[in-house]
Parts: sequence; structure tokens; C-alpha cells
Amino acid sequence: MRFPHRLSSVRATIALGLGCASAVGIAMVASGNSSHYSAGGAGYSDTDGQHSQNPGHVWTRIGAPVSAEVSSGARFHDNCARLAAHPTSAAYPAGHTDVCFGANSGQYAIDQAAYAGNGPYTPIMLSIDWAGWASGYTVQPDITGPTIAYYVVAGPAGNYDGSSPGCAYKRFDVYVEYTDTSDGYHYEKMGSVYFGHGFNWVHSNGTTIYSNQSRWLPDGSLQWYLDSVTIGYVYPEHNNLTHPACTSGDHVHTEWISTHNFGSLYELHGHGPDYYYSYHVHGSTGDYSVLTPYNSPGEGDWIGFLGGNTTTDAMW
Amino acid sequence: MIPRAPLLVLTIGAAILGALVVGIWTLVERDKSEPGPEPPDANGSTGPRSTSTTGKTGIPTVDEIISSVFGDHAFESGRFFEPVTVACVTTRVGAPAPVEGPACSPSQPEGSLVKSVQIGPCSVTWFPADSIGLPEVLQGLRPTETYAVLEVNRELPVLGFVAYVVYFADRTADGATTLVLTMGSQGVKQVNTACGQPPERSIPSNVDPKLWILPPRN
Repeated sequence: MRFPHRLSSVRATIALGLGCASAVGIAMVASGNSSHYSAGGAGYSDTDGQHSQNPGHVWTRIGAPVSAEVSSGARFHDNCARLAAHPTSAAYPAGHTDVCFGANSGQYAIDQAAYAGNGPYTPIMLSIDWAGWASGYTVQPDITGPTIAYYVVAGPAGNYDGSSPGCAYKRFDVYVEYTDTSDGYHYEKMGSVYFGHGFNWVHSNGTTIYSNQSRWLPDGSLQWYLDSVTIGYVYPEHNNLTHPACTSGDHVHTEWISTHNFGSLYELHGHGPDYYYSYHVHGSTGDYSVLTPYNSPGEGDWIGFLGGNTTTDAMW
Repeated sequence: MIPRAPLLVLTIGAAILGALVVGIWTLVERDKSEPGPEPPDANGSTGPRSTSTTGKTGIPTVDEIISSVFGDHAFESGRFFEPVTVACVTTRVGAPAPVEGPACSPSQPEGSLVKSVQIGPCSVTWFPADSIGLPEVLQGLRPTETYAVLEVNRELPVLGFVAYVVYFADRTADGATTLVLTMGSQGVKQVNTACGQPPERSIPSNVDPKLWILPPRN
């Protein structure tokens, strides 16, 4: 799926900016640091070390959909959702939830205790942005075209519990577009992001959500990204007297799957009441090694990444 | 000589009056009763607690639950819970389907009926009621007050008849969290912590204010 109308628009913009570009063909080296991720404890094993779905090694970052405390801490689901030990097993004593169970079979997830309010309701916002090229990889951007642009296609809505309104979720597929002078045009699906426990979803299935912000980089390249696009609203579960299995209070569940080998989750120190002490991902990535863990991400703060390059637990 | 009919009326009246006096005396004495020993906090310290924070309601079944949460007497699973009978499962259905029942024990075939309660911090899971103790109920919280008690008295999905919902607050210097106990007429059917919300954001805003047996503390 391509969006030539958008491409044309961006090309025109960039053409105007060419005169301002101080350098042409500057190698965009956003690596510089080792920035390894280590997925603790899950024992993930992957034999696909080649990047058929992501030859550009693009890291893409995901922003927190709301400003709220972490209520169920960052957890690593990958390769675990279907192998989950039973809640009453020795590994998961009674009273603790199943740490490996990904609600959307995603790789990583985090929950934030956003309060829905009683109308107007708290919006769930989508922020998707470029986060760097993978370490060791150099892209020579073609600045006659959009250096990089993100598109998100709204997927179908679903429900974790049949039809309980507080259990509704919606999928969003993330695509990136860029042109490499040595490698040509790229249009790749980076992965999918799910938001759970929302309602009044704004975008119907199949709707394309375009980048709404852009920035020039010193090398003359331009990046288009999505910044705080309202995609739905937090469901007011607090108004229910009994609760379905999926939720007992207002909150937003964010879960994602990388089309390429790995997604990753920035470790947030707030583990919340769910005791998700394990399966965290440690470290930082790309140019963003200075991120500080936090218990209460603000809306748009970076909480996770799509992309990667690995044959083992490590990713970078 | 006193006519028999008026005598009967006087006798009945005296009996009713006596019952009222005894009832009122009982309620007064309940309020005057000393709370039980303070359970140690995370640091092992104890401190006084007043009935204004334990928030008794005068409803015996509710007050007994409240007392159990505050450690006023030994926790008894059989008195604390009013289990719901559900079929156990041996395998997970897988996302996004919900977990429909408690885990079957090794000797139980799939679908065996198990007396269970729902418990969890945000999403709730079925567990056999007799496998749950007070630590699992509290989930690491240490309630500092009974925040509110709501009367429901109607059939609701999943849990069946729900009589009351009891909201506890755990207030610390870092903020407040909530413990929610959903009760039938005899005991607790569901336990959750409202997904990390404070009590002010865990209570319904769309109920008749008259249904608050213990109104939310402001």
C-alpha cells in the first residue's frame, strides 16, 4: 500500500528546502552507541537474522497514549503468550496474574491508569516517530524525496471478553516510507500497536492516518511523524458495578508487535500492582540512550520501539 | 380488673419497646466497641486505628468483611467468600479470549465445577476460593480506611446476585490506591484493585446517592 499523493506533497516541500540544505548526500549515521537491549529471562530464540521485512534497520518509537501512572508494568510477552504457565503453577502462585499472557499476542505491553472522566472523556493518543537507524547501519537518505515518513492504518476493533464495553481494543498498523540513495525506495510495515479499554474509536477499519508533524534534520533530511493523534477515548470502567475479567478500573493497555524480528519495550520502573518484575527489557536504543525510566509517562513520552536486528535475545 | 384485649396490646407494645431498646443498645455498644489489634505494617510497626477509618456499616456481613480486611480477627476463607460455581479449565484459550474459569487441579477433568472467586489487580482471574488467603486478597495493599460502601442488591453479569461493593483506600505519602470487594449477601465474590486508580476514581459516578451505605469520604 502506497500513498503517492502524500509523497508528491512532501517532495514539493523538500524541493523548496533544497537550497537550505547545507550538504547533499550526507550519510545519516545515527548509530554511534552500542545501545543493546537484553530481554531478560524469556529465552527468546530466533533464527531469522536477516532483515527481509526491515532492510533499513529502522527503529520506530511509540509514545505513551495518555499521561498516567504505570498500573501494570512493562512486560515482555514474546514467545511466551502461548507457553504461559498456569496461574496456579509454582511459577505463578495464586494471586499473581500470568505475566506471559499477551492480550493481543504481542511482544511487549504496558498499562497506564488513565482516568476516563465522566465526559468529556480522556483521549487515547497515537504518537509514532522515527527513533534512529540500527547500530552499524548507515542510510544515505535521498533528500529529493521524503527522507522518512510514517503512516498508520487503523485496523479492526476487537474485544478481549466478547462484548464487554470495557474490554474493547483496536489495532493500528505502522508503516514507514523512505528512500535510500544506495538502496532505493522503501515502504515497510514496521509492526502493529494495540490500544485496549477504549471506546468511541475515531478511525474506522482501513483508514490511513497520516503524519501530522515534521522536522528538518541538520543533514537536510525531513522526517514526518505522528504526534498525539486522538484515536479513541478511555472507557469509564469505574461506572460499572461489576467488572469483566479483562479490567476492573479505568486504564489503557498498550501492546505492540514488531513485523521485523523484535519490538522492544523501554523499561519503566513502575511495576504497578501486577508484579511484573520479570521480562523487562533493559537499556536504550539508537540516539535515545539518555531516556530516563519513569513511573508516570506523560502523553507522547516514548515507551517502546518497533524494529531491531537480532538472532538472540539481544537487540539493537 | 383489666380487660384481656387491652392487656394483650400492652404486652405486645412492651415487647416491641423492649426489642427496640435492646437493638439501639446493641448498636451503641457496637460503635463503642474497641477495634481489634492493629496489624503490623510493612515496617512491622503498629498504630491506633479508629472506627471512623474502619467505617463499619451496621450490616453484620459487611462489617465482618471489613473487620477481616483490617485484621480484627483471623481470616477464614469460608466466612469471607461467597464463591461462584464455575467450570474449571485445563488450558488457556489464548488471546484475546478471556480466561473463563479457574485452573483444574491435576485430578479434575476439564469442566469440573469449582467454587471460585475472581481476584486480580486489574484483570481478574478465577481461583478456587479455598486457595485464597488474606495476603492474596490484599495484593500488597494495606488499607488505611473504608472509603465507601455501596448497596447494589441486584443480579449482575458473571457474579450473579451482588448485594454490596466495599471500597477501601490505602493512602501513603506516594498517593492512594484502592481495594474493591464485590459482595453477595454472604461474602465476597470478586476482589480487585481498580487497575491502580485511587478510590476517588474507582467509584461509580452514575448511581443514586441514596445507595451509598457509607458515602465516599472526601
